[in-house]
Amino acid sequence: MKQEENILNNHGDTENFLKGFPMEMPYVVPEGYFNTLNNQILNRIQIEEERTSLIPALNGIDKKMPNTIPKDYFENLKIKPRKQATIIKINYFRQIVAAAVIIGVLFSTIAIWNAQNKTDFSKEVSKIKTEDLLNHLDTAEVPYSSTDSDDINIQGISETQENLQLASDEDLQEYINDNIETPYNNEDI
Amino acid sequence: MHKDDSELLMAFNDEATKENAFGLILKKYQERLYWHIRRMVASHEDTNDVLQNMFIKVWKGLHNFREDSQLYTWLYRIATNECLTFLEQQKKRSSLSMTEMEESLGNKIKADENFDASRLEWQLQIAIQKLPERQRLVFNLRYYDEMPYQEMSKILETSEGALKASYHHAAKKIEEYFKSH
Repeated sequence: MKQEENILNNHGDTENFLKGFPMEMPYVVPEGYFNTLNNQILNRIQIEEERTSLIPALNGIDKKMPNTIPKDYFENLKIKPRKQATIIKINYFRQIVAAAVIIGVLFSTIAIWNAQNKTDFSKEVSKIKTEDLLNHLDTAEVPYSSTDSDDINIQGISETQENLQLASDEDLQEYINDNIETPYNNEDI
Repeated sequence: MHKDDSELLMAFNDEATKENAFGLILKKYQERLYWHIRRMVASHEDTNDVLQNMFIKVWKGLHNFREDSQLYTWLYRIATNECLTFLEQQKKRSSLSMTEMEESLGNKIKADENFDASRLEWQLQIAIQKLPERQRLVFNLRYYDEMPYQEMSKILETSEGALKASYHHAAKKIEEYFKSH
């Protein structure tokens, strides 16, 4: 109690000290704030009443997200601006030249590659010794027999036909007379 | 022209005139309550949040208001509680101590675009933000709102003697702040 009395006795001194201070607040309120506050609050009330009447289970649950954000996350958040791609203007003629160069390089590469990988058969054969070749021919199996190949018969027939066309009628008559034997005598019948 | 509080309360309790009456109550007290909150939380954005939350509570609870106390006393009590809740939440969220919280409020004042360290008004605001919450409340209500201790005791539910002591301590601390700066 004594302490309180002392305070109240000295109260006048502190009041005098504060008399020299300004009463007005230095803060500024955004222009038109108080004119729009009424609507802002009524809108919030409307939303809140709508929410609580539609989903009563949500009453009393804080709308703030329960998740936490690392300390000073937004203060330290820096978004690096992407570098804009530079567009190089090339005229039509240069485009054609560039295309031709690319095609040329492509074809040259293919040609060189082919040349490097191509095997010269005659050169390769010449490297083989004659003895080896003879041995190979002796031991190698004939892939097919002329007697049972239709291809060979067909080839033989066509050659004969060509020869017959080239021969004169006289030669043919002579060939028939010399080679054809009568299979039987009429008299035998 | 402002209507009498009891007329506004009657209009609020009638569904047909409820919204209009609420708008008039809001218009009548919004500025006083805004400044009461702003002196406590410093930034406009925080003040706006607290003020809107406070008026939503008023909308929900006004039909229960009994005219055994004055409407503005009741409104001040809600605003004060909202301020203290807001400051408490901020402390918890940032896990700040009391001293760090006072420091943080001081930084908010300095971050104001109109802040001018050479002006006495701003220096006084920094000195006030260094006071403990209850002393700050008492000091602001007495110094800026010139509220009688009797009214203040209804809002803060504290004896008049304790309020006078609080005000005296606050004034002394402010005096010391100015002597040392």
